[in-house]
Parts: sequence; C-alpha cells; structure tokens
Amino acid sequence: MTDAILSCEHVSRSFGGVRAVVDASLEIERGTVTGLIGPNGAGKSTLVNVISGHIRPEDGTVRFNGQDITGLPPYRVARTGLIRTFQLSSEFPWMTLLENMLVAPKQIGTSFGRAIFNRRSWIDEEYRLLAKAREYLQSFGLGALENEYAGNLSGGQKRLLEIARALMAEPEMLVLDEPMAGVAGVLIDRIVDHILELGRSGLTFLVIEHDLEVVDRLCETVYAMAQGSVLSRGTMAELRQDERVLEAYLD
Amino acid sequence: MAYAVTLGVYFFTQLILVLSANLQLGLMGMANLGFVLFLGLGAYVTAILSLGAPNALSLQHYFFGASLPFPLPLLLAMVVGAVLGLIVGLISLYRMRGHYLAIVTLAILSIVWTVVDGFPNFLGGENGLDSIPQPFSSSVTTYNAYQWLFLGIAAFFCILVFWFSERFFKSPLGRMAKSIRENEAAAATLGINPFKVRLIATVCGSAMAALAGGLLAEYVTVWGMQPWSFTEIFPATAAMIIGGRANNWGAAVGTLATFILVGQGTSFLPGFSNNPELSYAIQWIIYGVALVAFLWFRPRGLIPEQKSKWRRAPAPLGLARSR
Repeated sequence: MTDAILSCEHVSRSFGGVRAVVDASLEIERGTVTGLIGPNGAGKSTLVNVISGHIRPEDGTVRFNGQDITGLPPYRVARTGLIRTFQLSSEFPWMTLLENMLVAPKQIGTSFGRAIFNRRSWIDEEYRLLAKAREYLQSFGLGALENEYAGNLSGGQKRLLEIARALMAEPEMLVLDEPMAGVAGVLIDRIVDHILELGRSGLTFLVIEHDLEVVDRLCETVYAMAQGSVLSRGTMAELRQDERVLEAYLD
Repeated sequence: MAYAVTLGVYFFTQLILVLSANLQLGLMGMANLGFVLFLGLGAYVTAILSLGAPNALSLQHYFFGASLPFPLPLLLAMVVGAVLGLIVGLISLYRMRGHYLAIVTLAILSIVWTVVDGFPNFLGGENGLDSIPQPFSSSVTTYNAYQWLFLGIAAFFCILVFWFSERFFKSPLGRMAKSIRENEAAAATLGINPFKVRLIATVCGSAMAALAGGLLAEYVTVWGMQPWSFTEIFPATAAMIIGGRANNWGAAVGTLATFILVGQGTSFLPGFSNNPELSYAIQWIIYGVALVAFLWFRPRGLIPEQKSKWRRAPAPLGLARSR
C-alpha cells in the first residue's frame, strides 16, 4: 500500500479474560472508503475505541498521518483530524441542530478571556461558521430543522446530523461506527450517497457496518474481523469467497 | 421600607450564589455541591482582611490585623475562592462524574465545615466572627441611608456577575460547556477537553460564591457556621431548578421565588409571625414540595433554557466557504 493515512500495528486489548482484540493490524489508504465487517463480538468496536483513544491498547501502535497517536485521550486524537461517530446516536439532545453543528469546529471564541471580554474578536468567525453550518445542514436535508432540538430528530436524521457535525470539525478522516444502525429505507440510501460523495472529494472513511449490502455499495477495500483478529482484506466479492470469513459468519 | 431594602440586598447576594450554581450545575451539568463551601470561605476571607487589629474589648481571635479598604477584601476573597476552587476541581473533577462528584464535593464541604466548627480559636467556630466592618459605614450617618448604599453595592456586584454569566453562556465557550453536559464522549471526539472546561466553570463558580459570601458577611457584620452549612445547598439548588436551569433570568426568578417569597414570606402568614421555628419548618416543606412538583411537572423551570439566536441576517448560501 502506498499512502496509508491510518495504520494499526499489532493492536491487542483484553477485558478480564475476554481477548477483545488480538494482534490486529490494518492500514487505511488515504482518500478511500474502507469497510470493517465481522460478526457480533468480533472486536470491531473495541478496535475503533482504541483508534479514537477511548480505550488504551495493551499492545501495539496506532499511527495517523505518520504520527503515533496510541493512547492519546479522545480530544487529542480528534484534534489530529481523526473524527469518529458512535454506534449509539450521540447528538446533543437539548441543543438545536445549529448549536450541535457549531460545537465541532475549532474556534477562537472558546478561550475564556475572549469568550467573556472580547466578543468582537470571535463574533465574525461565529457568523462565518454559522453560514457554513447552515450550508451543511441544507445539503444533508436538515435545513428546515435548524432550530429544532436535536433530541427530537428521528434515528436516521440523528445519524445525518452526526456526520454533518463531524464535517464541521474539518476532519481528514472519519470513522463511522455502524452509521446505519437504526436507520431504515430511503435514509440509508441518502447516507450512502453522502459518504460516497464525500469520499470522492478526498475524505478518508473507515466504516464499521453489519449490513453487508451497504458495505458492498460503499467500500472497495474491506477488512473482516472475527474473534478479535483481522482475518482478511479484500473486496466484498473476494471476502464472500473467503472460507475463513464465511466460517466466522456461520458460527 | 428599610425591610424592603434589606430584602433587596438579600436578593442580590443570594442571586450571585444561585448564578454560581447555575453555571456549574445548570450549564455544565456538573453535580458540584461544594459551591456553598466557597460562600463560607469568601465570607471568612473578607472578614479576616477587614477586621483590623484587636482592642481590649474584643473577644475574638484576629489574624494579622489587616483592615484593607473596600473592595479589596471582596476581590481577594474571590481570588482565594478561585484558587481553592481550582484545587478542589483538580482533586475531584479528573475522574469523577455525576453522583460520585456530588458525594466527593459534599464530603469536602463537610470536612472543612467540621474542621472550622471544631477549632473555635481559628475562625470562631460556633460563635463565629463579629464586628465585621461595613464598607463606607463611617461616611453615611443614618441607618436607612446605609441600607440604600449597601443595596447599591450588592446590586453593582450582582449585575457584574450576571453580565459575566450571560457572556459565558452565550459564547462558544458556553456552547462547549453545554455540549459536555449533553454528551461528554461525543464532545470529546470533536476535540473538546472536558476536564479543562469543567475546571474553568468550577474556578469561576467558586469565585462567584466567594463574592456572595463576602458581601453577606459585610452586610450582616457577623459570620458563623449556619449560613454555609450543607443544608444551604438546598434552597440555592431549588432556586435554580424552579427558575430554570442554564437560564440566568430563570435563576433571578427562582431566587425571588425561593429566597424572598418563600424564605421571607412565610413569616407574614397569619399565626406565624411569633413563631419563627414554625415558619422555618414551613419554608422547608414548601421548598421540598415545590422542588418535587417542578421536577415532575415542569422540569425545565419557569423560564427554560433558551435556544441560541443569531441576530445578523443569514449569509447567502455559497459565500460561507469563500473566506
């Protein structure tokens, strides 16, 4: 592989006696949409939590853009340009859609001194970000709801909001943990279209997904995990022929 | 009339305390119950720094005979409050959330309170400190005029704190604080350091509570154990919840309702005027019932938290990315 933006090398992590991730290695090429599949308990979410800094690995390293990010706290991983979403929708329920969006970008108005005593220094930036947030909400079909509390959205709309919010942070890579969980029908197609379009514009994706048909539509390269290990890597068609992957799914 | 002015002073000082709770519990969702500790602390620091040297008649322990001019004792009380708030924050906020944070901050309050209570030679213990000088008292001759003067002082500081809170709440910093309340893990994955924001809120809240304590001590001229015992957490928290969490105007309405209407009003009920113990008991019953009723029927309070508004007209689409 030529240009890996994210690489995990020999990552391991166990909880008590359960070996959740065992010597897992993978590389994500810059500008691609890569899938990560596997049956329940395969260790996908744990691996993502290790990448995003929510769980410390016992062994192995995680590199992002050449930088060793192993064991950094989540907010510092995020500041390197690697943003993740969660399996459970994680909107800020009692904040409006616009407020949700405006939490994400790095902005000067969050420093204490400026926030209180120098409103002028950040107010222009605020309106610039506001316009950008509106634009994203429009393109995700949420524009009409911009002043609604995020907690009132449907499951699918929450997922759209989360992706839009993540984009406000200007990430280089998005890790989506089961973005289709609890989403039905037309909204799945819309989320797929958005991911593909963003992928074409150069954003790198790692998508953890149960729905193999969705993975097929999204990803050229797919990693398959089972029982904590990375079994194989290939296109979805190749993985469907792979005996070890089939075995893992049939178990 | 003088009574109304006294109520006004009381309202403004308590509102500062409720705003401190509102910043920490309302906006940030931090169950920091230790804010009352800083009320007591601010009062003691103010007293120590303004008591002056002892004379032959004084029965209490004086510290270094400091008698700093107004408003230095208050400002230094805020500084001490902020520094100790930082220390308490560093101890308790790093790992603890929710119930755990509530218990730990309550424990810290209890420890300090018990120590002060148990060493009467230190800060007067049960007897407290008295003869705390009132600012400008020598230049105003009549009692009534002084009440008005102090009302002005209390109002001035309260408006300042209110302005500060409004700025905090309506800035990107306040939005960040709110997002941590709503979903800490999600906020962290957007690059926000929750610990740092919590620490900022704790330091500000502690300084605000210390200011409230200092003002109360200067107004009442005595300070003891009761005004900062852990039961005082209750009316301040009730005021915040009844008024509306994370809304500063709600805090003001809540302070009016709990501290003034209920806190003072019960003594005007027929048959209660000669029985302060009964009216005190009734107060607490009303606080409790009102709190439960609000949490049940109107959990967001009288004036709920407001959605952000942006006054400037929206920029036409497409312009946003050009800059």
